[in-house]
Amino acid sequence: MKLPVRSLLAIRSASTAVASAENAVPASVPAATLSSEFFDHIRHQVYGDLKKVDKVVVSVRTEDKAQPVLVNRNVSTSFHCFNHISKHFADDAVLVEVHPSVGGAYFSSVNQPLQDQAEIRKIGFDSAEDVNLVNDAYWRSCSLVTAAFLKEALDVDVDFRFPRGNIENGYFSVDVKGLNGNVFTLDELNTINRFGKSYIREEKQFEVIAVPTSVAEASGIHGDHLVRIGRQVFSTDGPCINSTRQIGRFTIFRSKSSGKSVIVGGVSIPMKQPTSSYSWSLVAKNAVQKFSKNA
Amino acid sequence: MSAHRVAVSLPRIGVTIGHAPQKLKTGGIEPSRRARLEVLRRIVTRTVREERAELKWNRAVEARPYLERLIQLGVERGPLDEYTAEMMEWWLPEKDLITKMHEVIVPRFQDRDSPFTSLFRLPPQRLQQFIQNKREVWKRYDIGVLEIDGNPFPQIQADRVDQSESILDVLLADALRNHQKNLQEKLDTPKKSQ
Repeated sequence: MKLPVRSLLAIRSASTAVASAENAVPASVPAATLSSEFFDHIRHQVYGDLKKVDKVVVSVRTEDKAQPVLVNRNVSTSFHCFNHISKHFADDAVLVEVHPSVGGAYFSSVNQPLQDQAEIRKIGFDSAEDVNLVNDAYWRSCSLVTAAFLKEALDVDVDFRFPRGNIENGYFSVDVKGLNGNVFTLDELNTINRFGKSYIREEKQFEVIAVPTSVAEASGIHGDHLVRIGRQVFSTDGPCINSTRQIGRFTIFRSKSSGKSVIVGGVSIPMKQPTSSYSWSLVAKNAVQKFSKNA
Repeated sequence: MSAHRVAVSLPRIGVTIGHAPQKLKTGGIEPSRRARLEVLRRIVTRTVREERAELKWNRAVEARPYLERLIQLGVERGPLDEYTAEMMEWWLPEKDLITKMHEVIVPRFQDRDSPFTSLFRLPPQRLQQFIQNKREVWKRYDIGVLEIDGNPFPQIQADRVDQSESILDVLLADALRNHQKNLQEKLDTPKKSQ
């Protein structure tokens, strides 16, 4: 039985969403119900009380100099630091390389709070270095955005798994559980795409929390990052892009049945890398072919 | 005669010389050889002063060889040469530009061969051609940018950065590869009628 078109755009009465990680759930700790309130709880647990303000100096490294910025510990993010340079500098940031005063360097999302004195460096789509990290972050973010607007669009209670994919596959995919194997028709896909594009145009932020291992094990989180997009929360295993503003061309082209779940495939190109309609049609057609072959 | 003797001893300039001289007109002077030289002189003077001039394409193409030759005279024969001094005085009526030419521009190219200038084409632009009574006449012109190399301004053409690993390039390269593969398979497949 196909899902009726009318039910696709019905907004769920519940404001929270449930998502599960791709890995198997251990028997000892049940999987956490990921909701916006749970996200706030974990953030409070990791970063402490937001009302307490501690200042910390963060050095923003640009091409020719390092500019110190005074920000709030555990509250301010790298995005706020980049905003001190310029708005365009902050908007173009996809990831950030953090060199803390204590410990080793690591890559994080731009919207992840800073916990200590550090030196940060912006990584964008045009960065010659760390291209693979940027590509993986973008591909991961597209999957999460797809799950977020599908969660809001569908009337049924669904769970999501995120198959590990990379850009060489030509498409990203989301495993949707709860549809009983009913794939989307062409009309439903068109409706979903319209809703998805309007969702992306709202420029929703990717709020990211780096969850320590102890907190993740105690809370039943399967992944080292929690991401909130609007009111939807997901667990993931890496950083994400800044916001949906950085997503350019985007389409969900097909869905296929896999047992009782439905795998939804899509393809996207960043806003910073514009292309012609012909090139985009080639990319989308190739993604459809590869998605169909992997059935 | 001295100009021909000097020109023979100089190396050939490295820019294209237009085979069809343009009729360059300017207000107040009848179109003639003299008027053409006046237009070129003003362009060369402006380019030496500003080091980057945006002007009509045909004028930029026409003025570039003269600017090249002027710089070449300074590089090859130096400021003490009589012919070079004469040419500098004529092409650069403003005396401070002669000093700038010998002390700023020529030292840049001491260890370098021609060309010393660059020419870029900009998109066509609609400019006011003339005003007749109260009627304005506009016309589309090809625009060019003539600049002396080594100028302090940001470069017009950005450096070509390798973007082969960007998301768009990876997706598009894979799409084109598969598209080519599909076309080849269609060609290799025998036709149904045969």
